[in-house]
Amino acid sequence: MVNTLFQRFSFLTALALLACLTSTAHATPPDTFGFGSRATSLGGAVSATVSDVAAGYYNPAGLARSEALQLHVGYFSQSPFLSINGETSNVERYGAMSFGLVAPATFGSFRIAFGIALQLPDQRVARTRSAIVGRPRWELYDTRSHRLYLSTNLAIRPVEWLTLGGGLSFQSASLLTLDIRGDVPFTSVEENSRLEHQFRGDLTSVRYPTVGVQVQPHERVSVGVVYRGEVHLTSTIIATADAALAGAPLVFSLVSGATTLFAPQQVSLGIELQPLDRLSVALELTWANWSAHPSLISDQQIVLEFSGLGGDIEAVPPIPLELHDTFVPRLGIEYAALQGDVDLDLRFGYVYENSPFPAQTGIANFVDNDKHTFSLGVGLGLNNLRPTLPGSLRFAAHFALGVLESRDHIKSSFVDPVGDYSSGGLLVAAGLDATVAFQ
Amino acid sequence: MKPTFLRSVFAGLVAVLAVAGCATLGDEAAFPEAVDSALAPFRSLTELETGKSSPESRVLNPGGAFDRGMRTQSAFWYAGATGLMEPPERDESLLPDEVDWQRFEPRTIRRATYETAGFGFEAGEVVFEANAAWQAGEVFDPWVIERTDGATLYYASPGGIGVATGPIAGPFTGDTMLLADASAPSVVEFEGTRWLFFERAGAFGAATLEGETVTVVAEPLGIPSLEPGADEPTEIRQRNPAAVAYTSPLGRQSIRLYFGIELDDGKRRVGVAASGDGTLFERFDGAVWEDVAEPTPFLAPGMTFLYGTLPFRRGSQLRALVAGVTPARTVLVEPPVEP
Repeated sequence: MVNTLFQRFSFLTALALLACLTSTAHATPPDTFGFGSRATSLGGAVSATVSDVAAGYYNPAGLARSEALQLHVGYFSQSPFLSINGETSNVERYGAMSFGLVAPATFGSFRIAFGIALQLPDQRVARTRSAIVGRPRWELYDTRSHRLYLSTNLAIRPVEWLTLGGGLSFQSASLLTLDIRGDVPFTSVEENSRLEHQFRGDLTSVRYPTVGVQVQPHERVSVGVVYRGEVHLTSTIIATADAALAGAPLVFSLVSGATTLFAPQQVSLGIELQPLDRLSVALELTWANWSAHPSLISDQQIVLEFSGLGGDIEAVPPIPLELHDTFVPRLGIEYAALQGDVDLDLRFGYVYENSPFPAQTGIANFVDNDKHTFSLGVGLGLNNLRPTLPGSLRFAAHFALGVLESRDHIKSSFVDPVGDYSSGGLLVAAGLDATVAFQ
Repeated sequence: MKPTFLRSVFAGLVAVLAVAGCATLGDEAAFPEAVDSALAPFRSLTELETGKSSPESRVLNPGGAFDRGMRTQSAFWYAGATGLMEPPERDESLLPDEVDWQRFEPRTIRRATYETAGFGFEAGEVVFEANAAWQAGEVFDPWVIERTDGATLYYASPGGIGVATGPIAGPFTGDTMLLADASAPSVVEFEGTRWLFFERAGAFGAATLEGETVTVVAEPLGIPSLEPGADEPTEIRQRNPAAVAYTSPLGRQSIRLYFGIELDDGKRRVGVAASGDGTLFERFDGAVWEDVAEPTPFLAPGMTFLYGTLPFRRGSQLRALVAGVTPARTVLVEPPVEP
């Protein structure tokens, strides 16, 4: 009988334990992997001149630079080779398809454009995995971006040298509710128990803004500024049990709130110069407000009362992450090797991302390292395709190698069950996309 | 370019991208591997691993009374004694599961070799027995340091801690006393110095060793007790310290001190503390190993074994030498495949 009672309420225990587990920190998928092969191969330093579907993420103002209706489809994949103490960390490969649309309309010299950008993971639309507190985890890569990314944007070009744009990106938070009611007798538990449960899950939409501007003071100089709003998704679990155990009232309540995704607000400032007719060089600096990141340890309120006895149960307190803001420099170089009916562009990019996470010296183990990303890309454009295609067809491919600097995490406690460890590794990515532009 | 060709190229690209995108749909990746400092908690070895039962985790077959044992690369060392033909009445002041050594022959130190299969040991042979007046007739608590050309045996007796030397397989000779009125010696090499940890007058101490010269560095060590939770027993005594020098994957050294704890409900458990300098210790506040006494650690790659004593069965006044391992998920012996 005792075992049966324990089984019946063991899932409540499991819920309580689940509440003690950590959630995961993410930025949005394009923050990590980029959007579109061209932009990724240029290290993401495109906010000054981007004008294709990728503008939906990098700088919505760029949508109004497009003169053609664009349809985009692409795919990329990133394979992590990350290790801790030389042992592989089993961080999952991430791949996604990208889709997009840019629809401009011109009224004299005034242009307005609408854009949609969608990045769809190839394995899961959404994923949350809890891990054991204290087990080292690559916080920004483990299940980081198994989420759908969708943004819709609007841009205007009131004058030739100025474009403005803004839009909303969408994510979803979850609210899960479990209600249990009934009674459990003291004897003949299996035959005479009366328990009912009800489970509800709600996905609520969260929207966050992106606004940007592009200025072209000179035909060979462009400047872009972009702001992306903060994203904070939470997952809330509410479990209540209002039952009678052998006639005595049993009340259990668990409310657990956890952060399942956090993307810091960001400001990017980019400039692109065209020192030669065929050569473009772009520099960009992005500030990310990681210090605003909430604790990754869930916040819990647990109450357990039996026959009027008991009360609040002390839960695991949130552990501050102590993240710091980061400044991310980017470099993109593009060379137009061929121009005419066939365009061939060669691209190179570099990004340095210093980790917002401090070395993990306490009981938490959110692993992250400083990263250098080198990327190469090629673009092929087929122009003058009438009457077959009233526009052009462009293909882009990229390869990116991320090198994570080795990092030592030396614990302040000699009795830490995890102990000291070092982290490091590589990230290898490649992608391909195609865009049709209808003139 | 022909229109059909372009359409085919574009359609093919979309198809390839769609297939690539769907190819791994639903694939599941393993969780990250655990990183573990192999400090605690310990799980008892199973019958599959020891080939023994009652209890499963014992590493020696019954044969008289056993006392604290420790493991080296070549063997297992322990103290044991056979029962007296006409033993005196049991001392009722002892804990119910504590051995009354007055009912046995004087303890001697034995060396047991590894079994050919499993994680147990063969019956041991006597390698050292009392040979000086200050030893009061018996020796116990062996701690052996092996070298390429022999071994050094540290031991305890009613008079204090002594040292003897001999070949790796014994026997040992020597009657030098190192530290009077002390017991439970354990010796480790830490940051180029040989350290001796011991128990004396109900407390733990630390000393440095240079040959046979002992310099006490800290006594008492002051290992803190843990505050009991609601309805939990209180720690009343710490016994039998045993040290091991641990080197982290980043090369940082520390000393881990495992010790027995007696609780006010009559039960026992193992505790552990660690130090970066050999004198200031931080206590681990989680579970280590319940019901076991007289722990001694042995480091192996990626894991720690802990040896101790446990009653053969509930109510038994004889204690078995048992083994545990951490991390608890360590698989030492694969279970047999069912046909």
